Amino acid sequence: MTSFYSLNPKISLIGLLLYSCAVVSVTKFGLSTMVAMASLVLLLLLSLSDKPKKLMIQSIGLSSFALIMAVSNVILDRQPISLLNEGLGNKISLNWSGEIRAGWISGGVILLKAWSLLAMMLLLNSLFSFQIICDSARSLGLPQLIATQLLLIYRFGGLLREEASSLNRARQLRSFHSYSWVKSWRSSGLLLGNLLFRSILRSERVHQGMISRGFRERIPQNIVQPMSIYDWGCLSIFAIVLIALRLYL
Amino acid sequence: MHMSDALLSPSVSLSMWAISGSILAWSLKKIRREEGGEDSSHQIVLMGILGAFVFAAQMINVAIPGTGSSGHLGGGLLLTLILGPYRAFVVLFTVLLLQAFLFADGGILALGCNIFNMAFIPAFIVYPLLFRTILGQTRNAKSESAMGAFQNTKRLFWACMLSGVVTCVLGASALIAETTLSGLAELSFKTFAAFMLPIHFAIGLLEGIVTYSVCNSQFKLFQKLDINTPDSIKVQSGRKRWILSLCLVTVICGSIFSWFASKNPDGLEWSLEKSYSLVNSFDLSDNSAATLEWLPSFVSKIQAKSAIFPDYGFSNGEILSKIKPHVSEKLQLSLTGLGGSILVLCLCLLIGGVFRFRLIKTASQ
Repeated sequence: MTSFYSLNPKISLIGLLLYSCAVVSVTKFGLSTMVAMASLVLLLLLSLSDKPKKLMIQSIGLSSFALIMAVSNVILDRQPISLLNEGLGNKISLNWSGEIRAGWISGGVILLKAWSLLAMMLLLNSLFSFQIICDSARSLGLPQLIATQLLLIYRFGGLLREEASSLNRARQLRSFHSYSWVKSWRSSGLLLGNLLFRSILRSERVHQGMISRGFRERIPQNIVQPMSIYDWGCLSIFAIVLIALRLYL
Repeated sequence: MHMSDALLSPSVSLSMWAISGSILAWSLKKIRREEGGEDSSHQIVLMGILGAFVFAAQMINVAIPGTGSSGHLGGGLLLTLILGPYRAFVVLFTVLLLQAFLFADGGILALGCNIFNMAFIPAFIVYPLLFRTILGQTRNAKSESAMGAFQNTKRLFWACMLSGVVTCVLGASALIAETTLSGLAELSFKTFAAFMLPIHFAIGLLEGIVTYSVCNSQFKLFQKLDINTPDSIKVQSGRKRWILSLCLVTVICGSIFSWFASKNPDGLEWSLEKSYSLVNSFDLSDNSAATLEWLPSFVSKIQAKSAIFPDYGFSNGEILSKIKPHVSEKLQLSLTGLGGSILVLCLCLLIGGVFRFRLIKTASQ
C-alpha cells in the first residue's frame, strides 16, 4: 500500500479519465463488462481506502436521474432476453431457464455505471486533497485562471455555505416553518440578495487581504514531480487491464 | 439537472466536450483581451467569491407550490448579469467541475453536456438574445448600465421571468436530446419531454422570481458599490442586435415552422414531374427514350447519395440511421430544418467572405 501512496497524483487524474472513458464505452447490454468494471472499483475501494465502509455508503447515494432512467428501462423494455439475444447474434450466454426482460439488463448496466463512477470519484477525493488534485490538473495543462477559480471557490464555498445555512435556519426559526410559498419566494429572494451583498463585501476584504499577502492573479502552486518510470508502468498496467476488460468481456 | 456519465454514449459526450471546450477557450481568450495586461486580481477574487456564492445560494431552498417539493437557485443567469457572459461561463464551468469532483454530481465525461446545458445556455443564448433585448428597450443612453436599467421594475420582472423559464426549459430540452441521442435509456423523447419540461418550467419560474428579487432588492447597493460589470454595461450596437435577432428567427423557423412543411412537391418539382410525364407520353425513337430515362435516374442517384436530409428527414448514413429510430418525426423535421439553416448560413458566410476578400484585394491594388 505504501508504494501506492508514493505514486504521482497526476496518475490518479489520468486513471480516472481512462476509467470514465472505458465505462462510458460499455454498450447498453454489456452487463458482464460492467460487473467486471464495478468489481475493479470495489477492489480498489477495499484495498486503498482507510474508510471503505463510509465510502460504500456514500456511493450508494446514486444520481436520482440515473436511477429514474434505470427504472424506466425496467418498466418499458419488456422484451424477453431470448429474443434480444437472437437479435444480438447470441452474444449473451445464460444458463438460467427463467425469463429475463431486456430492461433489467440495461437498467442494471446504468446503475452499475453510475455506482462505479461515483465510487471512483469518491475514492480519488479520499486519497488526495483538493489542493493536490488542482496542482496536478494545473501541471497537466488546466488554465491558470480556472485553477485559481477552483481553489477560491473551494476555500470560500464552505464559508459561505455556513453563512447561507445560518440565514436559512434563522428564517425557519422565526417563521416556525409555517410561511406560505409566496412569502417563501419573497423572503428567499431577500435572503439571497443579502447573501450576495455580503459575498461582494467579503470579496473586497478578501482581495485587500490577499493583495497584502502578495497575491498577483494566481494562487501559488505546489511543485508536482514529473512522472517517473514507475508511475508510467502503473498507468500502463491500469490501462491494459481496462482494455482487456473492454475487449474480452 | 446534472447529466450523469452512466446515460451518455461516447460519441455524444465527446462531441459535447469539444463544443464546451472550444467555448471555454474562446471565453478565456476574450477575458484575457478585455484585461489587456492590466491587474485583474480584483475581478479574479470577485469571480471566485461569486462562484462560492452560487454554491451557498443552493443551500436556501424555496417551496414549489402544488408539488410539495422545493427547489433552489441555479445561478447561471444571476452570475451572467453581474459578471458578463465570458466570466460567468468560466465561473459556472469551475462550479460544475467542482461539483463533479467533490460531490460526484454529474461526471467527467458528462461535464461537457452539463456545461452546455447549465452555463452556455444562460450566458450565451438567453442573456444576450432575450434578457438584454427586453431590458434594452428601456435604455436611452449608450453608456447606461444594465444595473441602471433595473430601475424599471416591470421590465426587469418580465426579463427575469422569461429568461429564467427559457434557461430552464432550453437546458432541460438539451438534456433530453443528449439522453435520447445516446440511446441508452428506453424512455422515448416525447414521454421524457412530457415529464421534464413542465417541472423545469416551474423551476424556471422560481429561478426568474428569485433572480428578480435579488436584482430588485440589490440594484441600489450595486450602484453604490460601483461594481465593474464590463459586459453588462455596454449596450449592443444596432447591427449586432439585428444579426442576433435574425439568427433567433432562423432558429425558430428552422426548428418549429419546419413541422408544417408540406410533403407535396413544390411548384418547380410539380412542373418537372408533369413535363417528364408529358415527354414520356410521346412516341419517341429508342435512342432518345433511353437518353431521357437515363438522365433522371442518374440525377436522382446523385441526389440520394449527396442529400444529408432527404425529404426533411434523416438519411440512411451510418450515424444518422442509428439515431433515426429514437427520434420522432417532428424532432427529425426540427433538426433537419435547423441543420439546413446552419448550412445555408455557413455557405452565405463563405460566399460573403470570398467577396469581401476580393473587394479588399481590389481596393488595396
